[in-house]
Amino acid sequence: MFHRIVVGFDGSDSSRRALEDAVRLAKLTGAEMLVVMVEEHLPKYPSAMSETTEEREAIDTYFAELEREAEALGRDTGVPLGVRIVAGNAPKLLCDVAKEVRADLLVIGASGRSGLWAGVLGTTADKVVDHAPCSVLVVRQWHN
Amino acid sequence: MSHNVWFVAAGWMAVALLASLISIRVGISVALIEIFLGVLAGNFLHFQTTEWINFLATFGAGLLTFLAGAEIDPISLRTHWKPAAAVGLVSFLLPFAGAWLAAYWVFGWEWRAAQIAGVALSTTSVAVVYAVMVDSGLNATEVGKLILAACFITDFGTVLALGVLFANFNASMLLFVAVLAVVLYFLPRFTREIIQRLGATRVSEPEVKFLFLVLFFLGGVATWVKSEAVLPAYLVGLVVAGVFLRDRVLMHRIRSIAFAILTPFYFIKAGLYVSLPAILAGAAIIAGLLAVKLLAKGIGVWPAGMAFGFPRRLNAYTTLLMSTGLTFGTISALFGFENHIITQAQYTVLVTVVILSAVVPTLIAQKFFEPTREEAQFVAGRPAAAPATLQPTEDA
Repeated sequence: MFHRIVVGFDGSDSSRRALEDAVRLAKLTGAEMLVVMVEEHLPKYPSAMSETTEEREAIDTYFAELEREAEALGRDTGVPLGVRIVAGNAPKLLCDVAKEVRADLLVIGASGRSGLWAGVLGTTADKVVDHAPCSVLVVRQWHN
Repeated sequence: MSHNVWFVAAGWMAVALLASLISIRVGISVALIEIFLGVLAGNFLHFQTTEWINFLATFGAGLLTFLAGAEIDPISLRTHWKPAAAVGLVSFLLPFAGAWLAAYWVFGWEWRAAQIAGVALSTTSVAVVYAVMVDSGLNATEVGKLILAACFITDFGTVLALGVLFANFNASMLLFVAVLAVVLYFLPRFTREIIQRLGATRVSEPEVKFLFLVLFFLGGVATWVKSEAVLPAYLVGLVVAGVFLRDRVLMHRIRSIAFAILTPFYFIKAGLYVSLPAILAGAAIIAGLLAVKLLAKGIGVWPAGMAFGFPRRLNAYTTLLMSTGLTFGTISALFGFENHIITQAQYTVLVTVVILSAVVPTLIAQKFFEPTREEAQFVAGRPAAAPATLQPTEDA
């Protein structure tokens, strides 16, 4: 059914649910899986060097933690998965990676860490659905 | 209600919070967004400063200057002393003289106002340069360290010019120099001892309070002789840089205090006095002074880079990065405005040029002249034979 699944993971509850569902799908279909984490660029034009240094350290620590979490999930469920960390615009990069690895399914959470601005600017999910080169599964977080 | 200190503080903090949110969203530093929002608050919401806001803003500028001095890597500065001094000095002197003379002869500013233009446009923003280099991994290479060391020399020239040009030269100045020399001599030892004995175990933060005490005291002496508090702040940062290199926690604490409560007041205030009509009216002067700054930096830094054998592309990249400016430029302009040396229109022109000089050269450098991995490993005077230290880019 699916051969290559790409899943976007940024540490938000919604993306965590997407990762879990993607792992479940990969296990069912035997698909290869790639977890893509998109980090934002460092702030441009800072007023102190330490602003950049500390931002860099915080980003590195955060994504290293997410990488460990994704790998642990893969180990626990017996699904081999790759992890790629990229920097830049999340919707564009998710679509680019999906195209590059010729994924047949892109899995993302309905709302990521940019939720605060999503109402105004549109969610990452909206943009990925519009531009993805393959089928997209948008996973919604249910609050029961 | 407008005189209630809590409501006034709430208004300013609302702007600061909004700036943080926008900064996170658009990936541009909070300082620049605070200036932009300050411009809007000043022009449309008629925000006013008060005595306590002025103090917080001044202390914010002082702490930024202190951090700029304290972030120097003394080992790197010693290693690259000669080329860094050569590049850094011309990078200060030519734009300083160029902008000063252009403002005086071409744009008809008064002599002292033209001097402020020279000081404000002579700077290089170490922080902007560093951020660009971290993005490309250049900061970890020898040439990256050389460029940063050169930036520190340039900024030292700017701070010295600002502290000396407008000061009173009399007996009180001698006293200021003497007090400064004594404090700077003993400060590294005292700071190290306080950190070693108390810093790691006390939540009452004695080491932070000690540094603030020194900055307040020297700031008081500096303003007493009509100099600028940023001069001692930068020098204090310089002499404790070695201590800070080992104690990152102290650096983090001071930066947190500065960015949470002090620098927002400084940057919003810096934007507050920018007049939108004056930007339109002074568009030609803005373009002219920006061209003077970029040209003067080019004339100064390019040959210096050639003399030390920089490859062509790397030299263009270095020259453009050395043309950036931000914090010290706005500090110099604000000093001129608050001391009635420049008018609000001239202040507007200078701050606009400073902000453009942070953005324009950076964009050109990143778009057209980002060095290749081999070029980035170049060490002045000898091509690097050492192992590559260039980090992979984030997109790898």
